[in-house]
Amino acid sequence: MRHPRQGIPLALRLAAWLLPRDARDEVLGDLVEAWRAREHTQSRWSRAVWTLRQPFVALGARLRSARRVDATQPPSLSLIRRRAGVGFSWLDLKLGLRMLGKYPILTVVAGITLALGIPSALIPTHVIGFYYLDLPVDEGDRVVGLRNWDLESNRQTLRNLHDFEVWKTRLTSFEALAAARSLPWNVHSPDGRAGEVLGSEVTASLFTLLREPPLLGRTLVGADEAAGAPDVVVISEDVWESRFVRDPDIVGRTITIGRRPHTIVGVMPAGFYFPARDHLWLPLRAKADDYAVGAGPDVLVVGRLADGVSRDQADLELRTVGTGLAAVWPETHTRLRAEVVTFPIMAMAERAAGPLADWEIVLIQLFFLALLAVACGNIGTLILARTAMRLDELAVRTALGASRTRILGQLFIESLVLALGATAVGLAFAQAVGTSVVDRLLTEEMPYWFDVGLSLRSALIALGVGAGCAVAAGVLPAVKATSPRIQQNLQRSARGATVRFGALTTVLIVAEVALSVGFLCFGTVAILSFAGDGSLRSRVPVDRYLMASLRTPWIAPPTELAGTYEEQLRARTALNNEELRDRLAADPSVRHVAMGRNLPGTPHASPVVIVEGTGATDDAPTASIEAARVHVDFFRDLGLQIVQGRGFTPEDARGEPDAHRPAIVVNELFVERVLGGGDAIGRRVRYPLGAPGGEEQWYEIVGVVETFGTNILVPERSEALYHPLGSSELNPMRYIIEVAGSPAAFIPRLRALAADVDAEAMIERPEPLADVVARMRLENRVGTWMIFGLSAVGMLLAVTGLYALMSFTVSQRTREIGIRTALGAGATSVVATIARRALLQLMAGVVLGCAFGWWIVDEVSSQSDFADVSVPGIVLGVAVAVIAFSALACLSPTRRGLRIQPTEALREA
Amino acid sequence: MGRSRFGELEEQVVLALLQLGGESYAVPVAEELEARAGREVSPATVYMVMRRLQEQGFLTSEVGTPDPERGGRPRRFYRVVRKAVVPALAESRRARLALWEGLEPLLEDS
Repeated sequence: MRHPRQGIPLALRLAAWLLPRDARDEVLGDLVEAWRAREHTQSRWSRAVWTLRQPFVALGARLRSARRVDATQPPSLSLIRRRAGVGFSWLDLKLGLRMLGKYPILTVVAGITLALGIPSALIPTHVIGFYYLDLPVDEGDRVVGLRNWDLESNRQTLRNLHDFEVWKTRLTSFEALAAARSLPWNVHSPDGRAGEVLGSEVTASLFTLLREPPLLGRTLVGADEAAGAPDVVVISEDVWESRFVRDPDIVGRTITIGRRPHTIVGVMPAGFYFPARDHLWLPLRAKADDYAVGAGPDVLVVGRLADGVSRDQADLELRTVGTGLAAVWPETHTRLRAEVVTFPIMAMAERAAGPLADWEIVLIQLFFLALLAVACGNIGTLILARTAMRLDELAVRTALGASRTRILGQLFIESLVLALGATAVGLAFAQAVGTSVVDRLLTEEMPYWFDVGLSLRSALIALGVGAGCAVAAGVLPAVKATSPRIQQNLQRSARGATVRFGALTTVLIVAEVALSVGFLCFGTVAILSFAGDGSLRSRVPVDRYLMASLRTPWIAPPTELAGTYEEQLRARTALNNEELRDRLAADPSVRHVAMGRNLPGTPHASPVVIVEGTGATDDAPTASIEAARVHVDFFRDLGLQIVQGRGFTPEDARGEPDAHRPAIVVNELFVERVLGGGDAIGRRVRYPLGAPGGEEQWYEIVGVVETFGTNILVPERSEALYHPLGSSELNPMRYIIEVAGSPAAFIPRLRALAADVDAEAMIERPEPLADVVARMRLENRVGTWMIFGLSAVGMLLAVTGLYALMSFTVSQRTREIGIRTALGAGATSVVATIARRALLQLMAGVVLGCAFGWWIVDEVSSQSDFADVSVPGIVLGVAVAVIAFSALACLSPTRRGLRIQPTEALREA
Repeated sequence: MGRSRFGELEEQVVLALLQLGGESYAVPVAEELEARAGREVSPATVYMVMRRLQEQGFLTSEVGTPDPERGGRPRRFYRVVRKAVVPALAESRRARLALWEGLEPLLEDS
């Protein structure tokens, strides 16, 4: 099922938004219903036209309605205009539209640039918006998350059962509170089908809090939460349909979840999958009294703000209560800060402020804004050229009484029409392409409230940025072109005035050439790294392997194993993992099976390391390598040959997972490339940027294993080191299974073996390795082509800027060229007159760009994710390409300049 | 002769609503208008007209249950208040017929 908001055209949402607040939801419902009905009765185009008309229709209805209610205040545009004193007229708008047609090249170039540039520049903002999505329930913006933030580990902690009990009784800022914990369940339906279904244990208050009535039967009630009460479950409409063929007598039937039959008491309507994409809701019976403070299962606590209470007020009250709890439970709560956050922030375990402080996003945002700034600068150059050609027209308008502000206003409207039109086209393009790419890349089902589509907020921000671009690209050149100095020149000179490209234009063109060269270098490295199919060069036969994870669930009540609940779970995890591995190994169709966190063919961490005795420092580490955590039997299980020293032993993984475990194994490529060959045993390595045990902790190489699949996309960069992992330390544990036949065909057998080991354990995300690798390649390619495409747009802009500069020079200096030719100047001299400045700017930009590109390529190629490339080769190649393209752009204006006849030039002048 | 208290669209919306049994919501009313009067009107417009008629006392309304087909959004059902609507419609019809009196040959000519 799709999210209720997903798939609703932006135009319909905009139409509803234009109506009074209390009517929006119902009108949007009407529009969606009518829109869906048109799917079968109208052609695609008719339906699209109908959809696009709706915002205008809604605006008309709103205005008509307002006029009728208060006839004394007609909200006409002319009145608003008069009151605001803006002084623009429809004529300006008409003129703006006419200018688009009169200068088609400018329109197309600037339009494409802004249509690509503005939505691209807003991608980071759009992504940040995901953290502030409202739940798609009645007044979803009033539903928030309550959690504790651990100030020491800088992570959220959800072991909140005790806190939940206190919050329920003490907090007055909330109408209701509820708790939920989501986990996969093994479900056996009456038709004999078994499989994993995501479901939640929830408090009965959840349904009233979310204001979601059931489709059939009832939701959970307080009595269901009591220990010993009958096992009941509420199911989603999807489960009702897929497993019970919409049986009208579903209420009262049973379904086996885990090992126990549960009575179905209700069915929730389609579109409801709280908290993520859950299909079952069972009563939460875990009680705080059963656990120590700060222990027990993780629960998401949600609350609905009471009437009139803001999120900040609720946050303040929660923090106050949290401070009180720190005094009562100092051992566990002194380092915790209780806080109210949006539900998505809690669900994605982000910081309270969202990812805003994340330097990567800031860097990406700056990258995109830099590109947009370059784009605006260049369009500004083109518009300046156009404005300068219209100086006579502007002079006439001034003579007829138009003020400078009036003329600037008109020029602004012209740019605004262009910028907003381009933004609208760009947003439509981004919506269409963006959602289809994201749909292909997101393999897991996203939470039901997650919506990658364009939000109204993002659209409005984009239009705002579009207006900003109109100011930058339209008004600033106009200010220059209509400066009093030029007006005076115009009055003095019968020949007309001239505008010269100033220092600002020079800086812009040089900067955009430099940035283009730099980013194209980066794009080229990325293409060289990911264009081919690296897996063909690796020794890993990807089509023989199956990847899967085994999750051992945290199910109350405690099992017969001894110790605390966490210890019991770890013991059970270890038993399950070893048992499943042994059963798989004994299966005749399985060749090898191994466990670990980072398995061959899948992504690894790529930290930098310092090798002892190499003279490397924290600022200049030895190398970037691939790091993996694998089960202590990994090498033996996969049949990999130990070429020096030994493999791991169970003693190597002794102690807590976070403790320092000094033994590591490296691969042959690591020895060859990082250590320079020779005997590796006993040599030591550390992570300068931090690792378990601290930055100063050394790890000792105890063995060398043959190189096998650590970097399947760029196999030449597979230098790797391995850390040991115990059977209980990863839940879900990942498996790589080499099978004799088709990996996909082995999945049912894998599930059956896992069910034999533990009926409640779940096989998650079984997938052939070939599919995993194909997806990784697709992700890399999309990223690569985006960078390359944007860099190419940057270069196109630079070339356009040079073209504009030269074209403008030829127009402005026709008379001068004519006189020079008449006085006997040769072609070389004419070319020098026209192209000297452009060539100087180009060369300055290329030189700066080469330095920038050299730095980028050097940095990137030292990362183990990218191919090892020749830095001078790439920089030189890109520089030559940029010069060649620029020369092509200069060709046409230069030829025009060379064809100027002295007699004609002087006569025109 | 008193003026009708309905505008043209308001009158058509009320009549369409009556054709639908006196109670319905914006989408069927818009469809009814298109089917009977050949007038294509957006559900948003119909909704705003019915909302205005409610403010004037011609209609009452209540909200239905959320529907997944509508992205989980509820319908607002409007019901005709016959006591208020019938005299206004009668007046509107009477005025219209009075204005047409003797003009039928125009239609025949065309």
